[in-house]
Amino acid sequence: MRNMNCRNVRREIEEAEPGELSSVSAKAHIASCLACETLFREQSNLQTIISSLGTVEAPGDFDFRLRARLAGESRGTIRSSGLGDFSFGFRSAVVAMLLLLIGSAFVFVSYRARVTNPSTAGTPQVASTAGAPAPVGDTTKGKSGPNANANVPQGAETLNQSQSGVVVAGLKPGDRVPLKRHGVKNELAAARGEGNRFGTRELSGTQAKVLRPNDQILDTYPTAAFPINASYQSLKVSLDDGRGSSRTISLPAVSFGSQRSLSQGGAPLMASARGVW
Amino acid sequence: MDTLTTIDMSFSAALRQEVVADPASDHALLEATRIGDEDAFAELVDRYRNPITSYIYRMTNDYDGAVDLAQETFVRVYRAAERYQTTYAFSTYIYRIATNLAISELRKRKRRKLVSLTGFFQSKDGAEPQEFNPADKRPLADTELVDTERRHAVQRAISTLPEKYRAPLILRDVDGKSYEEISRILETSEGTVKSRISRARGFLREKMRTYL
Repeated sequence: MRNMNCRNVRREIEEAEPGELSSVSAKAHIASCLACETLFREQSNLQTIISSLGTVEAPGDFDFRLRARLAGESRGTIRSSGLGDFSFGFRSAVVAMLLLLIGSAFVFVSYRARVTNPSTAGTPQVASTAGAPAPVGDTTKGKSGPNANANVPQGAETLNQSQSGVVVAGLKPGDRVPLKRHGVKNELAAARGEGNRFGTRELSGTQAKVLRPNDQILDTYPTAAFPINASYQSLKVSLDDGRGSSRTISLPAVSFGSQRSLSQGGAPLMASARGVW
Repeated sequence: MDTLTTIDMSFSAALRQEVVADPASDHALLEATRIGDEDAFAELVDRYRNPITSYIYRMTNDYDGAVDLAQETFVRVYRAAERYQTTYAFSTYIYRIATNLAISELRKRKRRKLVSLTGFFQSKDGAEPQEFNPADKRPLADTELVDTERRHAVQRAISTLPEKYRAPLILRDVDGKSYEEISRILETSEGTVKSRISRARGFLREKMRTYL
């Protein structure tokens, strides 16, 4: 019975205001029960201490700081409704992707240009009439063309013909065709694949040999007429602009006066006023 | 704060009438705030800034943090003004926001393991470390000093309580809320509130025995 009273009284003490007990029976119990009296006293003191903590005041600039915070948040809301929604990471990713696309496009264009013009890297763009391109420096070997030397007797060393039908006088077989300086430069540059992508070979700098009536060659040809080993095929020049388009220029067969005179049976050397071709 | 939107409360016609009848009531001020009346919101802030700051301070035992959280409380009230329904007393509403913010802050601190160097002793239920705070038994000359020392001691003791006991104790013994309102704020039953308050007082009595 006593325990039941203590439990009820303690519950009442817990719910009571500090120092106040509503029921008379609880007050009577406290007067006779030391444990409940101690609890009541400590509880009252504790609640008094706690309630004495009071209210802590907010700082004086509380309103000002709150207004500033609300203003900042409203600005942030406006900003977030626009492009400011994107974070720094997203913007960085977009910039990186754009740079990657630009780089990829540049690499693709460069690769495509190289694929569509594979011969520009090292080969000169001068083609020959024989169909096969003449390699650089290989223009002096006689008897190599399909139609070459058809009328040329053996021992004619002073005249040389390349595979392309270009007549070069004054060179022995195996000699390299002298090139103009800028022609060499262009060729080397083309071989390195740098600068001008057109490979050129300049042959006009080679001075043709002058034949005179008292030259030894005339002894070989007493008729005062001799054939030259010029090709009767038309001269075809293929030009490639390095971007995939090519153009072929076909020149008619070169007809020299001596050949025409020979075919007519005349004496062209005698007819020549200057005696010089 | 999320729990505010999920709780199911019946509409109180009496509160609605209060809004209409008393233009100076909290509900009326919030209604005015909803339509853009800045002065009405300023009046609400003026009414509740000290109680809310004090309540959060008792919960966290950190004044600067309490001020920040109190401001955050009002910011959330302002932002949610359009969604606010007058089915609650405004004080219940704002105290619930403050409670949730304070508890979130306490949990953050716990995750950061900010344990005091003097927190050698763990509580019996293992909830939070207990501060080693022996009472100074030397005689003090001034009664005011005694009271100050006692208040500091009880504040430190409160701050060592588990949060589920701390909030109802402060709401009841410091702020003087009724059990019914505390149960609304904490979204628990009234019996649970009474039980937790009783447990909290028991903890404090043990810790504060030399002062009682």
